[in-house]
Amino acid sequence: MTEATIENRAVPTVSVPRLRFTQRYGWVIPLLLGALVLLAMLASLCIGAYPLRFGRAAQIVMRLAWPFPMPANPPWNIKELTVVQIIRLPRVLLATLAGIGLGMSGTALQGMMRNPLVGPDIVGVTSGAAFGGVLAMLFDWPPAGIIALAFLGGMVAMFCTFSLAKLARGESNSMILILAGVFIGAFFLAAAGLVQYIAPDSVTRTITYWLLGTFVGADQQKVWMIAIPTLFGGSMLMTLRWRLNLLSLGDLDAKTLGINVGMLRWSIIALVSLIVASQVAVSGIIGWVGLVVPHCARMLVGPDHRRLLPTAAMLGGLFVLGLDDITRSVVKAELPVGVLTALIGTPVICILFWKTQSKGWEHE
Amino acid sequence: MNSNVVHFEDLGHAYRPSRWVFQNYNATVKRGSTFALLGPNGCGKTTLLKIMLGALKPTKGTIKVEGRMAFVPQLFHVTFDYSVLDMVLMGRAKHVGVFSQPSAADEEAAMASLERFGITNLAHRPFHELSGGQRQLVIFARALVSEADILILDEPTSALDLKNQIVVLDWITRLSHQDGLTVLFTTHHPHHALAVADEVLLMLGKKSFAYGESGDVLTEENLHTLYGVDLKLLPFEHKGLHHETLVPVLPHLDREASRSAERFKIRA
Amino acid sequence: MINTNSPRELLWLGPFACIALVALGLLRPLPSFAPPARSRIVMDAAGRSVQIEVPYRGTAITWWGSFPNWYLQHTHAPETVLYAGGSRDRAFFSNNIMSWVYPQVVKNDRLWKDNAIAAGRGPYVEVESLLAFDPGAYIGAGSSGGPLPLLRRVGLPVVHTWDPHRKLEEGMFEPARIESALVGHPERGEAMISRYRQSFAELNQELKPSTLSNHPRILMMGDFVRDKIHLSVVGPKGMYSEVYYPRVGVANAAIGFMSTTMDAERILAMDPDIVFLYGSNNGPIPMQGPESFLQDPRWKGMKAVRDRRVYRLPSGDAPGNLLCGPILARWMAEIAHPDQLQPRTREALRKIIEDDFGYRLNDDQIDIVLHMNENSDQPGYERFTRNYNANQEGKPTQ
Repeated sequence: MTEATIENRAVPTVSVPRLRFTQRYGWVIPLLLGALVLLAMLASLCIGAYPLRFGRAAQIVMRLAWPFPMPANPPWNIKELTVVQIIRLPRVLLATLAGIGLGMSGTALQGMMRNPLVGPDIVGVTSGAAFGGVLAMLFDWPPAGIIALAFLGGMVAMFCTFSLAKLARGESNSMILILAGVFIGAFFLAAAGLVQYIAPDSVTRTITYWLLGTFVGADQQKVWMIAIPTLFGGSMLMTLRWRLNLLSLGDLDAKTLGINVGMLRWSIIALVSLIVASQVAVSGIIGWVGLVVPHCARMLVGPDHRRLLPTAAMLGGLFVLGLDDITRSVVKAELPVGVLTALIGTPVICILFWKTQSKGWEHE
Repeated sequence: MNSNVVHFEDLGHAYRPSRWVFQNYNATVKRGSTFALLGPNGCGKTTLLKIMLGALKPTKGTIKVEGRMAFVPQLFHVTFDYSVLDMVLMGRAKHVGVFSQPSAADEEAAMASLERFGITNLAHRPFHELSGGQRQLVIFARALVSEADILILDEPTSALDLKNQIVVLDWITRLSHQDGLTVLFTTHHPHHALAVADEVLLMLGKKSFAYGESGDVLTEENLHTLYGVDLKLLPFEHKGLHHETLVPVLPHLDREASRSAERFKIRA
Repeated sequence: MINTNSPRELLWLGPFACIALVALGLLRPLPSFAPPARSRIVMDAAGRSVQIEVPYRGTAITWWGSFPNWYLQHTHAPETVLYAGGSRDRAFFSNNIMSWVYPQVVKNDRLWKDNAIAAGRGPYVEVESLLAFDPGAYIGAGSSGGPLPLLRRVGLPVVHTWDPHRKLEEGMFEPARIESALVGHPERGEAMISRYRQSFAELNQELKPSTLSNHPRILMMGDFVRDKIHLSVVGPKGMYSEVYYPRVGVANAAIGFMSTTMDAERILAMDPDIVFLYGSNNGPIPMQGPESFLQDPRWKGMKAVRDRRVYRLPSGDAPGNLLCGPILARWMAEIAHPDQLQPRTREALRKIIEDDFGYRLNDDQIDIVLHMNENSDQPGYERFTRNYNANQEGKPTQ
């Protein structure tokens, strides 16, 4: 053997743990997505019948957000300000917040129920909230009342879902839980339809349009209706995001690791219900976002909820904002955004489902 | 510091009224010892574990547990493909505030735990890619990182191949002797219990049980009562130390005397 | 309780905070347009005094359907139209007399843009496109929906021309007064109103409806070509039932039915003497005409179908039409009570348009208005043909 080969042989192979790319740089992705969301919001302000340049839109938004009085002689004309402040900005905010809320709710539910095939619409929260909201509209309650009743409806629906699953002795079996959610969801949706039927004509028209999922008619009041619960509930969910990892292990496991499973689970359900209720109250039933977005986020940054939750939030915001931009610009008649999310969501979930089934989620 | 970490008296549980799983059980687990729980399927081993873990309230009797517990379940099914490090980190739950995320110190503790078991090279692999034995070690690491005093294992060797069974049993003794943990495990293999456990509880029936040091309790009569099969206690010497093991006697061997004679004659 | 171990943990707070700040920015007072230097005041239907800048820059009409038609009738001022609607409105408008009188309005592409009134896109989209115009006033119906409330909030001149609470004929007179005042000629509106009243007075004198013994039962309905299930009828409330039918000496066969959407069974139960069909065959929403109605197996049992007394209403969206309302009334009366009236509908129509607009309708155009191609086979319709009077022997032409 020559010296060279001896030397080669002598070099030991070091077993250094090799990080997946997503693990080392995973934290960058939520950051990038966050910046992307803000940019997308500005870009969305330029879409519409009235011509507005990106630079001008950015100027106006920055001055609106900056907590000091507006300049006396602004470089923009009052029509541009009107278009941004009154027409487009509320709608853009509404769509983004709805997306953020739905993305986070879907992720939290999937983690909590240990099944990647759930979303707020499948589990019954959306239908329950819709029923509550529709009922409040029938009684002509103020916006806070609509959200409150929608929140209550969502909680009741979740409670029914879990009780039904418990009756079938399937609280820990996620498939039974999902089935229960589908049944309860269908029930509440039918109940909402009943309310629509008995409502007087003037209210019916509002209800119908709204049940399809739409951001039309976004105004300042609606922005506040969705912003406060989503930002507050979302922040709470963010602080609990590591605990979602624990919850996703299993009841006994989580309990022995030292967390109060029941309390955590119901806190998460309450937060999800709050977020979804506010979204449904202002924009109707928008499905599939809570199902598809967490999947895509998981593909980007992995299943650790510390990174997953912020990523899903930002991705959700981008997704729904993008779809709303499409309905505003390309389509001639206003397509309800709920229809678009279904049209896009169903094939995406099919592809993801088949791809991962071949790799295998469940390993038992 | 109390030398008894687990103590139960007159313990009994019934899932439905008057359908007792077991009744009148007494036992004590000493600190730093290894304790084995044996019994056929359905006799209530998991129930007893759950009572000890506090997940179930016993219908009758009292149980006192002193010290923090960590649980290593039998079947480990994770829906999401967490990395090994993430899994071990989850053991730090008791040390992380409700609204906080794990700190750098927590991550270091997790890595240290992996190092203890010699599996740092697996740190960033997805958990589901690991073999059964490796998974068991990861869960050990998770139990250790939670700084528990008592380790409770549910049938730690049943899903493993021979090599990994030995590895796990070895770790059980090491954790008990070197780290001073109290280890409690259930098993279907009496020879494992004999090899590793200091004390044993045999769950013989609804009201009967045998409890005591493993050498005293793991007798051929008790085991015959427990399992309904014949087991022979065989002593042997290894490296100058005296050991004993249990070997099952297959029923048909008596009838097939000539055949077995053939087989063993060849070896001899 | 919350201890942050690294700033990376709180990265999500960034976008959240930005969104919250922007949402807070919405709380600022609405932008508002400065009031004009020189202006005149116009009272709109909601009782508001609106400042209209002088010289008047023009009108943006923001209600779907008939408004351009009525606006031109009331104002006689096609040059003041800056925006009249979308392509569907243009199609509707092209079927009307005003499109012949003022062909330049139909031809001008700049007046008809689809973006602004895309029905169903919601008021806020419409506002965006409407802002692109710079009219002297935005006009529209006085309801709470639509883009107008928003435009008014930012200080743009918005004039509601019609209030839904106005009853019947007042609801017709008001837009005339308001719109003619808008263009600076309030006298035009008043002139139309007085001529309207006078026409009805003349009809009343000729017909004497209170003395009529026979009041034929009329069913006025719309049968959609594409939707065979839903039929709409003119119910007991509204201009037709309450104002026109009594003046014309007929009764509404749909009395006693509260809903205006019917099914075939209930219509058969009404069994009217005469059926008037509204709408037209061509145009954005095609409606059945007499020919297919008479062939329709559903209506075979109807008395009106057996007598073939099914007519298409003249076009011109009466009765909300100050100009042609009296003509429509006369037309109905001539069909219902042919012996009581001279066949003078054609002349009346021609006279009105000529007097008011200086435009002489030719026979072909009047035939189109009276749907001669669809109605000519039905009994009693000969009197509406172009040379009827000339062909009657011994009857004086007037």
